[in-house]
Parts: sequence; structure tokens; C-alpha cells
Amino acid sequence: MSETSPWQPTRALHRAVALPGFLLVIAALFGRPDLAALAVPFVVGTAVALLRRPVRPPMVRMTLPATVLAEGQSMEAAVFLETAATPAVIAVQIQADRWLGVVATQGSRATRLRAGDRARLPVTVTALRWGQHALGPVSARAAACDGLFGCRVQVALPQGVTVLPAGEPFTAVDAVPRAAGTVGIHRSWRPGEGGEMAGVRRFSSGDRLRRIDWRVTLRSGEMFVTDTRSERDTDVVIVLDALHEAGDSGGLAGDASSLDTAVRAAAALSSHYLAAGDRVGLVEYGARLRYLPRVAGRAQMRRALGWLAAVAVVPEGVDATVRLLGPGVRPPTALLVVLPPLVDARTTQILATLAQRARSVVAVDTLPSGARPDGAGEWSGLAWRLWWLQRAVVIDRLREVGVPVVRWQGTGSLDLVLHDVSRMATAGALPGRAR
Amino acid sequence: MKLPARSGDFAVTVAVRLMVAAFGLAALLVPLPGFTTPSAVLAVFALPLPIVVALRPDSGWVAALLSIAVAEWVITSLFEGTSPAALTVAFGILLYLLHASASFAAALPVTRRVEPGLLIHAVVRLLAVIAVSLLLMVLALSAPSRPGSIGLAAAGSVGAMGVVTLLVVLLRRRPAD
Repeated sequence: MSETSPWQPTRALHRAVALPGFLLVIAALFGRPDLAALAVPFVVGTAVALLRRPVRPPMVRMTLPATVLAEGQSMEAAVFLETAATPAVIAVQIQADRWLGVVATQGSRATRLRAGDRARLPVTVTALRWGQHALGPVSARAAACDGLFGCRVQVALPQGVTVLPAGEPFTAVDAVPRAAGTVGIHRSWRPGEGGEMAGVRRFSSGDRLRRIDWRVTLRSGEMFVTDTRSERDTDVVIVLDALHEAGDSGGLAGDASSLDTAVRAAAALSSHYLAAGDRVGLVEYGARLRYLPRVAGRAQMRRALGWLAAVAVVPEGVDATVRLLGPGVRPPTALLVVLPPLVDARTTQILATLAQRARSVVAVDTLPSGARPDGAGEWSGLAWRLWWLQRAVVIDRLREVGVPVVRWQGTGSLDLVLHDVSRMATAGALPGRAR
Repeated sequence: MKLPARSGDFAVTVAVRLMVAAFGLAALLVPLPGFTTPSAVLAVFALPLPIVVALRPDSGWVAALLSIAVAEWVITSLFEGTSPAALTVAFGILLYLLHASASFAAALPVTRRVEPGLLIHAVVRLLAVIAVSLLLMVLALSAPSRPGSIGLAAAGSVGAMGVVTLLVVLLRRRPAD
């Protein structure tokens, strides 16, 4: 066997040659035919096994029908095995990221391929959690010549599988603080064509005749028209706090960590507001800063899901500040929905600063109720309760400075606070209020 | 990757390793005098090595066990005389079964299901080797046993050289593919 060959002699070959050789020498030297007889099966078995020796390793490759999955979705990948001119026993092993459930219905088997055989082993891959995961590598361990030669084939480098987050069903009231576009479905405070009645006013040139309010006109003797508010779209910027991940993730079917909740909530919010025709942007802040520019439309939903799949807690990097967040949270009229677990003072500072700058901010608390710090000691329980109390105080102080904080509960989570934020934005828009 | 653990999935690989342990224990006990009634104490002392071999069939423990069994055979024959031909044939086949089953077990990760075709092929091949070996073993045992005979030693040495040459030629031969 050449040095470059992937097939290497095993210990079985060493003993299959050494033991009968030793027995035959002793038998010859001491005239012991019984020892020669003991060597016979080894000689016959080894000679038969060595009649066909392999050179090339078995070919193993993996194909994926798709590289993008939604959480909970499954696909059937395939591992192909192929031998050259030598029969071989092949055992396949597929490594995969923790969040890709791999069930090799037939792939976890040891199989024997005859010369020139091809085998297809179906492998079911289930996306257990959003993110960017690796499937592979696929390695195969092969043995030939009755186990006298072996080789380990490392094939099919890891392939990336992007798992898009599953957005929960989400709807919210039609209340946004500052509807600012030209068209849309949100009622704005500006007068214009729309279905929401704002009051009556005196007729002026340019008003449409069908808007004349005849009752008021007859009663007052002057021409009055019905005034309506215009319907416009708005800008929504969803900010994900990736400074920490609190709680353990159990995948789609298990417990949700703070980052799970944030990502899935962001997907749901994006879907809702993009369906309403609004422009949605995304910001990830943590040790790295990432932005997805504000755009409206269906294509933005696909971009947003792909962008959300790449959210991760990065150990080291930049220090998140409002100044760095700046480019991502424009324009000033945008509704900012921040999704933090509220375990870091930097997040609290950023929220308070945004509110002081008269930005419309809603904070959605993503900390899992069952989250506990690692390790437990005599005073852990007491310390944990004190920390919760301190956190409650921080949340109350945020509310005082104008940042409503709610827990994420799917549909309707934001209804109450959106009304509040809209009222505050309107009050802030009145003449004489500081901006 | 977490492999699917269905009942019976790994029955074959476990059974193969149990066979390795059984062959190993038998190989240690058969050469001993009065092996048909082995004492429990002896069996207990002999058991650990076959278990290690069954757990690590790809290790050097297989060769160690084979060497110990052969050493037992040689030492026993020095005190008790040459064993009957039938026992010699049985012991030779037992050693080969231990070697072959350990090679087979080493090629199969224990967490794999084994296709029936793979198992059938291995058994058929093993039976064929044993059948041919039986014939040659009977021929070898029919040779006269005369320790100290220079002519016989020379003939035996030539035969041993021939066998080793055959294996070397097979190993150096151009591979099939």
C-alpha cells in the first residue's frame, strides 16, 4: 500500500501476518505440525481477503434541496456513497449544528457496497431554531478486505443552512405616533383625504362640493364642509438588543431565550407593519452594530427574515451608544420598537436618551420569566429577588421618562402603549412644546 | 449528531461484540488442561481480557489475547503432550474466529444498524475460509512430528517462507482499482 493511499493497514492485518508467521517458524523449528495447523486459517483468510485490494476511497457527497428553511420546517437531504472496483463496508456519520435535527433514516447504518455500487441514504433535516447553522461535515469510515484495510473519508464540507425565524401571528391597533408618508392606512393628524372625520370647517375655495355638510350649512346659514384626516404610512424601526442572551433556548418547541423572543417578535412586527405598507428598518446593537435600511414592500420581508437569522450575541466589539445607533434610528418621526431583556444599564441609558430626545419609543421586555443566573449559593435566592425589585424600579423610571415597557405576548402586545405613544407624540407636536 | 435510538437498531453490532468476548474467553480456556470443567474462579480471572477486546476490537488487545492463548497452548503441550487432532483443529478455528470477528467488529461502529446483506456476506465468507482451512489443517496435522529432525525443520522452514512470500506478494501486488 503506497504512502499516499487513503487505505491504511489495520491492526487486524498486522496480526493476520505476524501470528501465522510466528507459528510457522516455531512449527518448522521444533517440528510441531499442530502449530502449523493453527496458522492455516489465518493464511487462508488473509490470502482470500488480499485478492482484491482497494486504492481509491469510497466517494461520499451530500446534497441539500434547499439552504434556507423556516423554523420547524424539514427537508430531505441525501448522502450518496459510491465505491470503485472494490467492495467495502461503509459507516456514515453526519455532524450537524445543535439546532439542526438530523435524522438519518437509513444513514446511520453500516452498509456494504459491491464494486461500482451507488447508494443514496436519505437524511431528514429539521430546523429547530432560527439562525445560521452548519450541516456537515459528512464522514465515512470504510473497511475493505475483511477489515484488513481501513480508511476514513472526510467529505462534504459543512454547508450553511439559514433558518428564518417563525413570526408569531401579530396584529396591533392602527395607532402610530407620526404617520408621515404620502399614502398609507394609518390616520395622521394632518387634514386631507381620508375616512377618519376630524370635524367641520368653513367652506374655502378648492373644497369638493360632495364634502359640504348640509345640516350645519342650513343651521348656520354659512357653507361648512366635513373635514377629514389624511391616511399615511409611517416608519417603524425595530431595535434588537444583542448585548446579552438571557435564559436558555429550547428551540421552537422549547423555552425561548430573550434573543429568541426578540427575533421572533421582530419578525412578527416586521410582517405586520410591512403588510400595512409601512417602511420597516431593523437595528441590531450589541458588541456589533448592524442595520437594515428602512424600505417598504414584500421584498423587505424576505430581507428582514434573512437579516434576523444572522442576529447573534458577539462577545467583544464596539460599545453600543445612542450616537452609534443614530444612523439606524432615523428619521426622528419613526416609531422605535426596542426589544431588550433590560438586564444591562447601557440599554436603559439608550432608551432614556431616546425618550428625552422626544423620540417615540416602545420597549418590549423580552426577559423570560423563568430566567435565572448561572450558579447558586446560599444568598442566590435573596440576591435574585433584590435584582428583580431593582429591575422593576428601572422599568418604572423608564415609564416616568416616557418609555412605555410591555412584555411580549403576541397579538395585541403593543395596543395599549401605541395609544399612549400616539398621544404623547400629538402632545409633543402642539405649538409651544419643546422638541 | 444524535443518532436515532430505536430498539433493535444496534442489536447486530452488540451481538458481534458479545461473540468476540465469547470467542476470546473460549480461546483462553480451551488450551488449559481439563478445560471441559473450568473452575468458576479461573473463568472470572480470564473474563476481563475478552471483555476489553470486545469493547476495543480495533486495539492491540486482540493480538495480546491471541498471543496469550497460543502461549497457553504451547506450554500445556510441553507438560501434557500434543493435543488430539480434533482439538487442535477446533482451537485453530477458534483463534481465527476471534481474529475475524474482532476485525468485523472494528469495522462497525457500535451505534450503526447493520444491513442483513453485510452480515450474510461476512458469515458466508467466514464459512468458506473455515471449509478450505479444515482441509489444509488435516493435511498439516498428518505430517510426521519429529522434533530435532533437520530435514523436517528445513522443509518446514521452506514452507513457512513460502507462505510469508505469498502474503508479501499479495500485499505488494497492484491493487484492483
